[in-house]
Amino acid sequence: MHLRKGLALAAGAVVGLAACGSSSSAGTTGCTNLNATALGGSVGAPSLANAADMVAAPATVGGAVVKIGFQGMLAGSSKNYGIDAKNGVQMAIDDAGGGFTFNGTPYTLEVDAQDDVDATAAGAQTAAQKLADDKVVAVVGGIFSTASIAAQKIYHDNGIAQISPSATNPKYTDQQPTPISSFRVIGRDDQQGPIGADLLVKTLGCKNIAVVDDKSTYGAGLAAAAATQIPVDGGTVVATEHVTAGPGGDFKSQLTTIKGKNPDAIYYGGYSQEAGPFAKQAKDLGLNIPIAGGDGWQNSDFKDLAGASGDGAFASNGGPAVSSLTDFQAKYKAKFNQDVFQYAPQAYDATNIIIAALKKDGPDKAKIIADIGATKDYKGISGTISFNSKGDVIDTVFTIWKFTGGDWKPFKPVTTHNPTS
Amino acid sequence: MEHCFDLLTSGITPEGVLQQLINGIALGSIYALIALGYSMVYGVLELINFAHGDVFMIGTFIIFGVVQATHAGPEMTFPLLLAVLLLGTVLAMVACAALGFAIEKIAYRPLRNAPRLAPLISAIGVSFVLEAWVTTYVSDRNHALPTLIRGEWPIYGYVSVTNVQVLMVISSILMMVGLQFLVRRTRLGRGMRAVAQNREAAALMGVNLDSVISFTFVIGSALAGAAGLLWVLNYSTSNSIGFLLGLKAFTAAVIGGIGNIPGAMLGGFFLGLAEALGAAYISNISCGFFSSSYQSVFAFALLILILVFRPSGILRERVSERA
Repeated sequence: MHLRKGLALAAGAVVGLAACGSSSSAGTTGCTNLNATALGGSVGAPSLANAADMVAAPATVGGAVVKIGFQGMLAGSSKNYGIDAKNGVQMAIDDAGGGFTFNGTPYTLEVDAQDDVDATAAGAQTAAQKLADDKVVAVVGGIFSTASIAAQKIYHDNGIAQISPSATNPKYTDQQPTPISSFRVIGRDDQQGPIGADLLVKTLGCKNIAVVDDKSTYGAGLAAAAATQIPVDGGTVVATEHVTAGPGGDFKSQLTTIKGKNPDAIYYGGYSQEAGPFAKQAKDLGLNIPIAGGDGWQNSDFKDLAGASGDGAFASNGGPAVSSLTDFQAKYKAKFNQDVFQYAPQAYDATNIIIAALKKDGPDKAKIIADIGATKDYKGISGTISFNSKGDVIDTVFTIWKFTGGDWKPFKPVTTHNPTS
Repeated sequence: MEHCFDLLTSGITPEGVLQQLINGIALGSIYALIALGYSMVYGVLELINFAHGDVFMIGTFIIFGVVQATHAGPEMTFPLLLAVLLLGTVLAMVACAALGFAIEKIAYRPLRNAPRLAPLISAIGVSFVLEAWVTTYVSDRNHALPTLIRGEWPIYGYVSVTNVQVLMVISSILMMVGLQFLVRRTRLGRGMRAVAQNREAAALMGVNLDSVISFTFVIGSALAGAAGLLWVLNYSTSNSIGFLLGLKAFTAAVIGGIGNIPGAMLGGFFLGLAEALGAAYISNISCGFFSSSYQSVFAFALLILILVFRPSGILRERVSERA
């Protein structure tokens, strides 16, 4: 709730800025409002009211070892996501003093991190089984939706709570086995897709939109959600195309088809490995129109792959802008000697929720699931967290980012709500 | 069914088809250059050099590295940029040639008289080694260059040919003409043709088998290095592109008639066109059942069709079966 004031302020600023367009290349597209400028660093900065949480608690190291599992990509082309989130988990444990005390008995906390091999279904299941065999009390992960869903049943069957810092596909919570044991501390694609549609149609004034996805669980879900919202907002979906995920993609064929339909903008659901080259090849083909998408490519990978050709791209991402989390950033950098990549704040919050349950009811897996489900107004780094009966966060913040001058700049925060039950 | 009739024609415009043709030919020129290496080695040794795609991958990384190291960008003056790209290409060609030479010497030569399956497995092993080496010591991430060469030539409607596409097609055709000259008109080329026809007889006639075979690998690998330039000007590279690109180029070589140099070129262009047009219009043809993400499926569906119905390829190279 404490986020509201900052958000309202920032939203007001966007409206003001959006109204004052003047000279730019807007003439090349059909969108009417492309001169809306980025907001600098002031987006939705939550005051760190919970700064006390971040100060190391009195050391309770000692006693039996309790393991918190982590599942994510620790190697391969997407390892940045995994290592970043794992660091978030580690940071939460260190901030708790490396352990906790329950009923006067001290316990030592450890991260048990398992690589899910490029977030493949088989890799995720192997990692999940390993974590179950290691007797972890709860798991933070996976990172990508496909891997999070693939591992879900194994955690459920072993009675282990799973909190994903970043899986946004609706199926992750909608189709999980009951009684629920999977949660997420981020918004859903059926919220994120419409945010992209609203941005293109309402904020930027684009009318004819091409929708593209990479056929992944995540990308296709996001693109479908955007495609549903576009006509609701008053736009038209003029082309629907699919690309093949994989290294070194050639998208000129799809882009040429799109060019023939003369769209004002493109919505791309997928990950940076394809989105970067896709944006670059679009510019190479003379498609100087905005491309919008989700959190799968709002990262530095897109920056490396698209370079200056990425200018004019927009992508939404769950949680407040990382750049606004200055305290967290500074602490993270001091600890790991690198910048926050993406989901460390969410992984940090997820871990803290698990630690809170441990402090309350000890290392009892069933009670941990119940305690996580009962989390109410937890003031985390990424937002205020309460879970509904499905395992989704009730109030979720997204930040829309604009790629300009070769880097991502916060553009506009958006708050959405899930039903409470 | 009416829905299907609508789909058959919707979205198909002369501009679209023309642009897809241009895209396909440009993409095909890269397949063609890599396919030449497969075809030459097969012609001389009857070995499918599965490490060839990874030699190409190393070439892309070298050019990428040179451009990064010199901080070349679109803001550079054209002659300077050209010099950097030329330097990168020459370095990549030399390094790939050396790599090809070494691979033949280490992994294939000791197996020259072994059963044919042995060098094939050895080739797959080399491919894994190269990929794993890059993953471990160079990078396991995707890399892309900024758009270095800009500019395009309008043709008709929104159809245009970019300068990069012109460069791709012209350079690949030049290289093929040069190769054809080398094979048909030089002493070394005569040696290659002799070895291809009958290795033992050629050796008896005084052809130095070892040097001819080494040279075949050197030329084929250098062409893969040059293809690396054309690739990074357009697409991103990573440790794992060698496998897929290698398979596609191999398909191009088979389509054209493996062992046949103009055939490899033709096969490359044919495959590029089939992929571009296929991805663009599969949805129309299949009544919306398939989508444009089936792009790569075309390469391999074509491979199966060619192997079933015309195993000797478009240009019908005589493939003599040896026991």
